[in-house]
Amino acid sequence: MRMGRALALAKKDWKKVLRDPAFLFIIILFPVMLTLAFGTSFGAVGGSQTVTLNVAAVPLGGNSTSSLLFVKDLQSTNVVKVSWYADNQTAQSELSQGLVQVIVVLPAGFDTTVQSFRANPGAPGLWTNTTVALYLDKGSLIAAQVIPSVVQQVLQQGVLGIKSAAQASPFSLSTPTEVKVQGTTVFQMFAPGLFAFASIYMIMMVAQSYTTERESGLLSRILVTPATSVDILAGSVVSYLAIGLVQALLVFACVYALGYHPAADMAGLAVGFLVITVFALCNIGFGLITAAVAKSAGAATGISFVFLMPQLFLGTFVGTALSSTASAAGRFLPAYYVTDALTSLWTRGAPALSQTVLTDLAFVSVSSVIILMVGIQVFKSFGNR
Amino acid sequence: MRVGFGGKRERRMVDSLIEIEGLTKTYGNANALNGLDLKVMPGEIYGLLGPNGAGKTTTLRITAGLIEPTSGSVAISGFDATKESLQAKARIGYVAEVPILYESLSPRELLEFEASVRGIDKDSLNRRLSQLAEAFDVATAFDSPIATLSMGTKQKVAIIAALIHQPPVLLLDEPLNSLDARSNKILRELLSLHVQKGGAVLFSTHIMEIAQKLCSRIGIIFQGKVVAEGNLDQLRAQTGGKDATLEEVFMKLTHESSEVENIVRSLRESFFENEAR
Repeated sequence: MRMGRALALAKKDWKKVLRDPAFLFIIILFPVMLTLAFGTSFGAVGGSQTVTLNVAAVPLGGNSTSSLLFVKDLQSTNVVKVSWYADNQTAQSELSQGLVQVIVVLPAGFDTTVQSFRANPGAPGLWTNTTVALYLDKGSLIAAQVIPSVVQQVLQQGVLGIKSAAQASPFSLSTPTEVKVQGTTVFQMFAPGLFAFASIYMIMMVAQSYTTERESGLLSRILVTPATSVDILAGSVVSYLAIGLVQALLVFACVYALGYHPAADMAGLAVGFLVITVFALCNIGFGLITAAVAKSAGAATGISFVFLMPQLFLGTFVGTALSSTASAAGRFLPAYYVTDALTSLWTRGAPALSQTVLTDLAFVSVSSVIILMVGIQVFKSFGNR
Repeated sequence: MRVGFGGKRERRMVDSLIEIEGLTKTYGNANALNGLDLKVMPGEIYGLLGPNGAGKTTTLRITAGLIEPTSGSVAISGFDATKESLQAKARIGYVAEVPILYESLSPRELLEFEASVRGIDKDSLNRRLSQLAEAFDVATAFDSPIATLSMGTKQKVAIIAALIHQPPVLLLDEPLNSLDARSNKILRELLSLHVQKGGAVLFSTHIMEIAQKLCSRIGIIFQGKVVAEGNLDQLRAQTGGKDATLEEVFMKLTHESSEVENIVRSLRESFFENEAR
């Protein structure tokens, strides 16, 4: 591959895209409109609609000092309205009727666990570990998205007084680290998903671009030059990566203006943008596969939805409302890890190098590179018929 | 070893700049090319003349490396167009039958892009661009989007793009289509200069006068193979008509002369019959 040649091709693609109204709509207008629509609909614009969830607290060991402290701290987040329930059965009945959205079951040994930690905070071997059970209304996007994080934060910081997210805890709850969700709007919870949502449409853009060039004979202009297929595809990748970054910056500017201020330092912001940019590789790969299969630009639009829809429904904010099976399926899609990484980094304020973020970044990187390689191979074999 | 066009050092000493042997191309059950052979020597303008569907465009597209032949081989300056396609493509300038250009770019942007891809330095590019833009009278349109240009101007831009890297081999598919008289004349002069410098041109045309005036040799292509080739005298000798025009030779070789006569006779009868009523 000759770098100069690839860059010349990238520059040409970049100009072509920026001067095409249809592509401009997909990369600029669509993400901006989507973000504004969400911002208006879910409370970021025209008022500060704050989420309030009804939470049932069920202290199986009775109203101990620790359980009272937990409820007080939980209430102070302003995200929830907590009510006491004497037994789990009544609470479950309320949940099934939609009267509460969350049940937090504090086990009988809750107080013992707290005391064991306070007595020996540096000796995990002496703690009495226990699990706090959560029941969530799966129809409530907000409950599924925010409550595990909030409960984790209250248990760690409020009840136990742990300041560092990295420090061990006797409570187990499968959620990420340091949570800073106070007075959170629905929009703020959905914002990370918007980045993946907007980027996924690149599949359609890449597929249409290649099929249009092939249909119109424009690909011949390049094929008659000494540029190799690697030069051509490298040029495209560079160009679309730049487009992906610009798109991410635009969405960021919009969500920021609408009140989503990431709880992240520069490193957190940089890693977030890295994840989104790497994710563009995956969408280029799917776009190339689509272009190789589709016989026309019209067909490419339709076929691109085969790759678009699963990622949209299972991998972005939409996925939080789905069944457990669908949620599990989402874990096979790169978009899921993009949303998860951005939620951890920018909403929960997780450190840039926390395990959750690194795992997400690793999955997005490896899967995106594999999908891109498959896309290149498929396009080289079948894309120029 | 000799110095070729654009300063490229030719790896091989070859007699012909274009050598096509036993070329076949099949689309489903249809044979577009049926064992086509031809050679174009340095200093030659070779005109491919044939009826619609004879295989002219397919021959040019395979030679340019745009489609692969079913069998047979093409060599450009001794480089196999399939196995050594990059070397071969570096020595080709190709103009398609219909100018297909990036409509959102300006001619200058398009030509700068193609020059970058071909590794032409900026100074050489600017020098050649100003010469060719002036020659084809497109300088004023150089910074307008291609989408806004007339078909003739687009054709001129496509021709400039094929010449910009000074390739030894020019493959031109109906290059004079849409050109005004001035540009037509300029292009013909340019082709003459190109072959005087040792280059070769393979081009297809339907216009007999152009072929007769411009070409060193003409190949009559019919049903996917060259049925006769040579200069006009040699073609006349092959058809037995001492004073025949190229059109008459062409009709005879493509077995169309008697068919055309019959159609004209039938039309005449029908025309006068209608007038009598």
